[in-house]
Amino acid sequence: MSHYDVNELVRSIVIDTLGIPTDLYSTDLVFSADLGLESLDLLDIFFRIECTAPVILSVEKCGRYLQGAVPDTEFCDARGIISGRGMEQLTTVMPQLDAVRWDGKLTLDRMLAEMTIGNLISMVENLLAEGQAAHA
Amino acid sequence: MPDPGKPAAGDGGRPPAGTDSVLRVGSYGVDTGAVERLVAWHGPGALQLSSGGGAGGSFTTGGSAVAWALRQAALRALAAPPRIASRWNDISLRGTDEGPWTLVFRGELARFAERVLHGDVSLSVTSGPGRVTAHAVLTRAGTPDPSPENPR
Repeated sequence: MSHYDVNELVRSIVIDTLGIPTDLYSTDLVFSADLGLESLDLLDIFFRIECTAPVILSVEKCGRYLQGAVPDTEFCDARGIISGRGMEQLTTVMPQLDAVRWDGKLTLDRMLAEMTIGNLISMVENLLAEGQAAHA
Repeated sequence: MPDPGKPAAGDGGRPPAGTDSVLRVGSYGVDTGAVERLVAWHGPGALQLSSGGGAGGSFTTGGSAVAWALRQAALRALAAPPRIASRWNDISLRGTDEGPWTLVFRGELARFAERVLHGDVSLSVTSGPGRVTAHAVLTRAGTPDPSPENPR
């Protein structure tokens, strides 16, 4: 188990980076389309987390974390709509997603917009644990 | 050994017989000030904007926003799954701030593009005070042909 308080780490960095009033902060906050995987704000948050905790939080790792073991050809179709298998994987890392509601409708861009602070915390915890396992 | 860079051109615009194709437009807008702040804070490597090399010219610091927006627009248009779309180091751009631009794909992204891309990627940029928006238009392969194991 990590000795880092990832919740507090992410909280302070998100508040500082995005300028959110502390009383509005919640792990249920959803990233808007502008704060998704390719956004500068998320990149900024990644860098700041890396400066504080022993975790390499690259966008590439984030992509692998979201896609899991689903093959590239099976995650989404040519229009970027996430497949049933892709949704199955996504709900393991973004449990707030309603697979029935999004069935055949969730696109890659929208997926990123649906990410929450809580999802980011889980990802950091997962990558920290991965790093510790690699050094064990 | 790294794969040699490949300009983003497909098979001359002709989809293979028996496959659907989809016209895709990817757009991405960015605040130029935000790009400059990120680079100032985290260093010039922060955006992972590698040069495509060759005699294609280069981007100025201010042009980083153009290069960043063009790359993200192209990745959106490709509709690549997260594992591929996050491989920013596999895509670079040749050109200058004003264009013309050439995308260069490498590694896994190049292999993905080779499989799905039909023809070239058309790139354009619009800009206003403090904002740059890039657009990428391409034709990519649709869903694979149905097979007995994978009926549509």
